[in-house]
Amino acid sequence: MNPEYDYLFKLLLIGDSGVGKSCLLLRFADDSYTESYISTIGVDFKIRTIELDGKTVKLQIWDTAGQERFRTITSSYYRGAHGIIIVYDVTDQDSFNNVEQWIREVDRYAAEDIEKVLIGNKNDLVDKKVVDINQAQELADSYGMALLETSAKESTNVEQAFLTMARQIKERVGNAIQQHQQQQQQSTVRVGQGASVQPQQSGGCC
Amino acid sequence: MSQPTVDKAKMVDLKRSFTTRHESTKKPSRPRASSFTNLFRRDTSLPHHTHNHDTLSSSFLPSALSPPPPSRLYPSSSSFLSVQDSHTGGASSIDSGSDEEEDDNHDQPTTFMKKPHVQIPPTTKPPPPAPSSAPILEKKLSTTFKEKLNLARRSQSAKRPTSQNVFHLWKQQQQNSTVKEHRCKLYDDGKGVYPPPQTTDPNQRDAYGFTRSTQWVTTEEYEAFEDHYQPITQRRSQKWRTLLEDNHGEWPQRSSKYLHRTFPDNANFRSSSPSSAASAAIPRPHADDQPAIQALRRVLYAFSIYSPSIGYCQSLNYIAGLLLLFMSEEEAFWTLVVLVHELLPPNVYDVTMEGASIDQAVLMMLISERCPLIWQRLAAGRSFWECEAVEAGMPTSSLVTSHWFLTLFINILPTESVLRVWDCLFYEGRRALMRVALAVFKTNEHELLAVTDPLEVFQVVQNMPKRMLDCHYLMDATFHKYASVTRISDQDLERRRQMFKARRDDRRTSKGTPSLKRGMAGSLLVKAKERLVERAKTVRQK
Repeated sequence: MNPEYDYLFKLLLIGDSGVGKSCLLLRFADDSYTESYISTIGVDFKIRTIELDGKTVKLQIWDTAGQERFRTITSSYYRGAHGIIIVYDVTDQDSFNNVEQWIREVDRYAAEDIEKVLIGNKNDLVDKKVVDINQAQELADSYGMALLETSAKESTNVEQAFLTMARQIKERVGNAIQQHQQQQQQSTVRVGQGASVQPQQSGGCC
Repeated sequence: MSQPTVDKAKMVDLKRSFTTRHESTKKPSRPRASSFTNLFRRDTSLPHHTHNHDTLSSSFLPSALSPPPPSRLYPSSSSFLSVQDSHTGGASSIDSGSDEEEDDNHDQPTTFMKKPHVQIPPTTKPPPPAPSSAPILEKKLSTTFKEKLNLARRSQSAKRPTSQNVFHLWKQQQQNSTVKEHRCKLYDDGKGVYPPPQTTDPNQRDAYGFTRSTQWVTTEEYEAFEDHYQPITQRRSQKWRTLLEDNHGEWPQRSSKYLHRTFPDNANFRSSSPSSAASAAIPRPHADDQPAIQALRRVLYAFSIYSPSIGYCQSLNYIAGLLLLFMSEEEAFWTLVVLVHELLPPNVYDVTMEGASIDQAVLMMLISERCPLIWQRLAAGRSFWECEAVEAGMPTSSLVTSHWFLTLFINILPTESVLRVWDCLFYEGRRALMRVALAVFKTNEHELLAVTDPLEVFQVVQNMPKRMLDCHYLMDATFHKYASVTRISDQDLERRRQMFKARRDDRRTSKGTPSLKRGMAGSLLVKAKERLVERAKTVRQK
C-alpha cells in the first residue's frame, strides 16, 4: 500500500536536557540550525526519507523531552522504536555521566534487540570540550554501540549518525527477514522438527 | 523531596523559553498595572481582551489571590457589551455562549445576564427563563443594565446591520477560513518536508514582543487577522471606557499616551538602525545578564523553594515567562503559585506528573464520547476503555495534547489566542482548558477526518492549533458554536478525574499480584474462588 518506501524505521532521540537533540533533528530533517531552540515538551517528530543501498528508507524520528519527570510520559515511545539515539553534550560531563542511566531506561522499556547509537554533540565547541573521546568510546564499546561526535551547528557527522543507525537497523531487519525465510524453508524440508512443535500446539488447543 | 530541585534543565529552559520568538532583552518599561485587565494588556490602542472573561479576571488580582465572589456582578456588564457587539455586526457570540452555560454556573448574576439576549435578533438562542427568586440587589442591577442596554440599542439602531449584511459578513468569514485551510499543506508526502521552513521577519513583532509571522502564520495572514480583529478590539475598548466612566473609574483608566499604537520595546526596536535591529533580533544564548532572563530565573527559583514537591518542571518556564511580560516579578510569582496550586488540578507538574496524565485520560474520554469520529482517527479503531486499560495505552496524540495543558497553550496557539484562553482559565477555572482543547479538535474535525495514517493524524493534531490565529473565532467556537461539545461542569470534570485516579491507584496496587489475576480469565478465577469461599462459609454455618 505504501510504494514510496521499502522500510519504515522509527527512531528515538534521548538524552539530557539541552544536549541538542532537537537541533540534531532539525539539522538532519530540515538542514537548518538555530542557536536557541525552544525546549521540547512531550514529544515532537520529523520525517526524512533516505536512500540506503538502493532501498528507500523512511525515517520517523521522535524527539523527546529531556527532563527526568517527562520520562513517564515518553517511555511509552520506546516500545515501537527500532533504534535509539542517545545524545550527550561533549561540553557537559554530567550529560555524559547520565548516559548509562539512559541506557538502563532503554533496557527497561524498549525491545531487547533494539539498535543503539551514542552521539556526542556540540563537538564544534573545541575549547569547552570536557568529555574525552576515548572515555566515550570505551563506554560505547562496553554496550556494543557505535559512537559518533557530531556538531549540529556545523553539520558535521549528523548525516552519518542517522545513516549509521538506519544501516544497523536495516541489517538487523534484513537478517530477521532472511532468518524468517530460512525457518520457513527448514520447516518444509525437515518434517521431524516441525512435527516436534505441532504436538505442543495441539496440546495447547485441547 | 525536601530540597528544591532546580536542575540543569531549568537553566537551559531559561534561555530557551522565548528566545526564538520573543525579544526578551527588552523588557517593556511600562507603568505597573494594578488590575489583571491592565496586566494582560499592554496598550489601550490594542485592547484585546474585553469580553466578559477578562472582565472577570480583573478580580483575580495576583496580589489579592482571592476567589471571585464580587466579580459575579461583572458578567452582566460584559454581557451588555456583547449585546452591543451583535448589533455592530461583530462576533459577539462568545459571551452569549458562556452565558448559555447550563451546568454548574447557575448563580444569579449569570441568569440576569440572560435577559438582554431575549432581544437580540441574530444567531443567539433564546435563554432559559430566569429564576423568580433573584436577590433584590441584583434585580436592581439588572434594571440599570436593561436601561443601559436600551440606551445603547437606541444609539446603535442607526448603524445596525441588516440581516443581509450579517449574512455577508458571515459568508466572508467562511470564505476566509476555507482559503486558509486550502493553503496549508498538512504533512510530509515523502518528497517535501513538513512543516515548511519559513523565515520569520524579526522586525515584525506583535504587541507582546513576539514575531508576528511564524512557521505557521505568514505576515499576510497576521495582517489580515489584525484588520479583522482591530475594529473589534477598538469597539470593545470604547465600551470599556464607557463602562469605566459609569463605574467612576473603578478600574484604572489607561492614560492617553497608550492610545497610540506604540509598544515601548517595539518603538525602540524600530527606531534603531537596520543593522542594529538585525543584531538585536539574534537571540543571545549566553547573555545571562538579560534582565528578563534574570527575572525569570528568580521567579522559577522562588517557586521551586515555595513548592518543593514540584521544584522545577519544564513548561513552567513558559508560563512564568509570559506572566513576566505583563507583571512584576512578585506578581508573576504569586500568579504562578495560584495557577499551579489552585486553578490547575493537583500533581500536574510534580515528579509523577500524574495530574497531567489524568487530564489526558479525561480529554480522550470526552473526545470518545462527544466526537466519536475524531476518536476513531486518534485511537485507530480501539475503544476508549481498551486504551485506558493498559498503561500508556492512550492514543499517541495525547502526548501532544498533554503539551497543550502543561504549557497552558503557550507556543501551541498564537500568542493572542493564548491570552484569550488564559482569560477564560482565570474566569472559569481548569475546565476552560478542557473546553478549549475540545473546541480545537472540533474546529479541525475536517482536517482530522481527511487523514487516516496514525502518523498523519498525529501531525494534524500537532499542527492544527498553531494556525488558529483568530482568537475571536476560537472563543466563539469554544463557548458558542461547539458549546454542546465542550460543555462540562466542574463537578463532572472532577468526577472523571477521581475515577481515573482511583483506577490508576488500583492498577498500581495490583501490580504486585500475579498477572493471572489481571485480565478476563484472572477476574473469573478470582470470582470463582470468592464464590467457593462464600459457599464454604454458609455450609459451615449450617
